[in-house]
Amino acid sequence: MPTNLAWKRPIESMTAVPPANGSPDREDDARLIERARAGDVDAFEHVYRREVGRVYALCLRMTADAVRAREVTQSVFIRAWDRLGSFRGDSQLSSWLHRIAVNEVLVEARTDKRRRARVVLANDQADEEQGASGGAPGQSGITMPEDTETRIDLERAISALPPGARTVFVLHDIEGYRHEEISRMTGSAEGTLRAQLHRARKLLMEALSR
Amino acid sequence: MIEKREHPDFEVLSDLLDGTLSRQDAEVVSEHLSACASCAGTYQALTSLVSSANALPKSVLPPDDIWVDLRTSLNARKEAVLPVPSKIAGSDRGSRGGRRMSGRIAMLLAVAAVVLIALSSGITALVLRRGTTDIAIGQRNPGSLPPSAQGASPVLPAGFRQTENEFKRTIDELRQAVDTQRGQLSPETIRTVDRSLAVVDSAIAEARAALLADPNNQMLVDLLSASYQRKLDLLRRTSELGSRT
Repeated sequence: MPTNLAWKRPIESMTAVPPANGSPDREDDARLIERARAGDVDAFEHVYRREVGRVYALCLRMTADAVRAREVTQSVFIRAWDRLGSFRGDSQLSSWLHRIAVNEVLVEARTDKRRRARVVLANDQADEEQGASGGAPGQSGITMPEDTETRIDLERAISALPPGARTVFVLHDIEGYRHEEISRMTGSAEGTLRAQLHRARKLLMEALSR
Repeated sequence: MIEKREHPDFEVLSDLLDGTLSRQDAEVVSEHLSACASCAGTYQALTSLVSSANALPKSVLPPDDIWVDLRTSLNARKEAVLPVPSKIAGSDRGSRGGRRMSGRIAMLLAVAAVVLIALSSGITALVLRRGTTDIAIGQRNPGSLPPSAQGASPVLPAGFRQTENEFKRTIDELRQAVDTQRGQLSPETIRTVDRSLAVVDSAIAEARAALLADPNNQMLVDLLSASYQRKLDLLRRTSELGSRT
């Protein structure tokens, strides 16, 4: 399965970045943006260095593919550069970039849909078969200690989810978006999103209890 | 309405965790969980999963070389971008100043668009005349196309398709932003912008057709990129003008 193979290499080197010191400073943001809008790439590099970890994490989890995550991350910052003029400063720069990243991944996923249709269908079918035969998950009781190995297992299991379920799980359970926000971003009905989330959680519990 | 005795579905437990069950159903399910070890185990595991997911690092180190490529792309884009003399929100520019500015910027936009498009079209004409005169004719008469183009649907160079998609997406978004701001722009500005956009679109169509007929011509790739960039600049500056007035 291409997505899993693609995921294996980066997951080993998937290193968490410690949070930046201090809270984001809007005055600093404003100055950096002002300079970047005037064409100062060095100023934009400061923004990039500070925000890329979060953008890349989102792209990597949502695409489950290191090559695509890299491409989408680049696209996110190119689009941010192009759209600096529309950043009004009334939201945090990190939130603004995060929204661009979510949109970019979703757009990329739609563009890529036709090419990947066969793989997706095969994954979904296999997952549905496993789900149908697996019964209710979690009966054996899963414990989830916060060690690195378990985190990697969880990341791998997330990467193996069908794309739709993965998107909702990442946005809702990892990134903390609400269903109505995800609905606005994806154009899917909230009921559909809830069903996808249940499915993702169920599949993850099954995967982690094996 | 959930019955007290029945084991709740996984979906119900998931809804309970998210707080999306009705109060009555939540009470029934909670009561069931306190008496059923199996369902309580599933719920505990589900809670643990969601808690672990929420605790995953929000930031992950990207490959080192992303910035190197990105910087190259930004510098390339910068070359085609005119300086933007604007401030982000919080600027104390008054509305009267903004209105006065709008007329001047409208004129600047018009002049910039006309100059740039005249330049683009001139280059296109030069390129088309220089050794590829038959391309324009070939669009009507397939028999006169270059041998490499015969018998195959014309396609843009693979490397340029992604660039074009990026331009198109950004342009679409800016266009939507401009459309929503139309009410804030003067009729004169709107007319100028629409006229300029029509000219830019015509230049894009011309350069694109030429590139489809001669996909290995790097000058046409550059020309088409520059035309898209100009459309993007025009929309961006219009959008900024709309947000200031």
